[in-house]
Amino acid sequence: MSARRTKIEIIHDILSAIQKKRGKIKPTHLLYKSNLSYKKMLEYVNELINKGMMDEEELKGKKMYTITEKGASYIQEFKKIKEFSESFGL
Amino acid sequence: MVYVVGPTWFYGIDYIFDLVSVIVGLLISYFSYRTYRYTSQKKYLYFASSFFLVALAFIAKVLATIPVYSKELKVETVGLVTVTSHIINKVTWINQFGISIARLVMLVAFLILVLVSLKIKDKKIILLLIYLLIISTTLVSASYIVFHVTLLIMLSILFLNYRKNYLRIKSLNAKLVMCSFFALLISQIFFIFEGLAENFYVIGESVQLIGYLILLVAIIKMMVKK
Repeated sequence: MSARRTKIEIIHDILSAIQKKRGKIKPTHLLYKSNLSYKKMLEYVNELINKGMMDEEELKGKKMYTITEKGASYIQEFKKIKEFSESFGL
Repeated sequence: MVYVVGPTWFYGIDYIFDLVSVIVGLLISYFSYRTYRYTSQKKYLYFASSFFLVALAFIAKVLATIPVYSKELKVETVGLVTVTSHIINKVTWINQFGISIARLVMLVAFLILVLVSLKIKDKKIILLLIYLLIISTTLVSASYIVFHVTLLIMLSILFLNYRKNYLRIKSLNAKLVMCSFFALLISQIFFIFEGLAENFYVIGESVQLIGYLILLVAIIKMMVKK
């Protein structure tokens, strides 16, 4: 059984899922890719939108989530953050 | 009474040692704060605060000892009894106040680090620890010893925690963090026994410097990771 994901890992998984879909993803697809419950996914999505790491937009009448520049920079910083967190046991 | 320890030839050299500790403290604080900005997890904010306070404590220590180190020069050059005694009184007050602040800030910094590392969230326990920390550092006459013994206990707890963490994840950086805290706790043993031989202070400062340098290597390795 794999270990429980930390918050920084979940954020990375969400943002990576959007980036892999060329920066835009449908909510249902994100739900599948993030491996979270619908309620939990919405909590994370709202937090990431508030932080300016994600955006929500309408495309042909359908809701889509997009990744922002700040979100992309988080993916780049992820390894450093993870290493820092693990090294200090945080 | 003026709080200055160690041999006179070492006066000023310890500033350089302390400067390294300030840089390390600020670097870790910055890195942790940046992580907090991304994740909004309070533990990173507390962690950043603790290392910021470590840096602040070293700055306070340096500022408190500068007038004492320069005092000796003033006594020699001025040579007037009345003027000299006035300087000494002022210097003593600045030194005592500065060192007391530096010690309190340092203990608070490491207490935060213990609370974050051991994930202690019970407010009653936190209040009790703060109370014990304040009375043990302000209401005792042997404040120098008590300060270093308290720090030794906290560093021992942190070392055991980082050892456990290293054994769990087995990474080089976790090993460096563990080793740095081991060096920091060993340095406290030398500070405690400084009364027996002045050079123990020099050894303590040197071991402490090694500890912070190891931590510097670890944080640089984390920051350049791709």
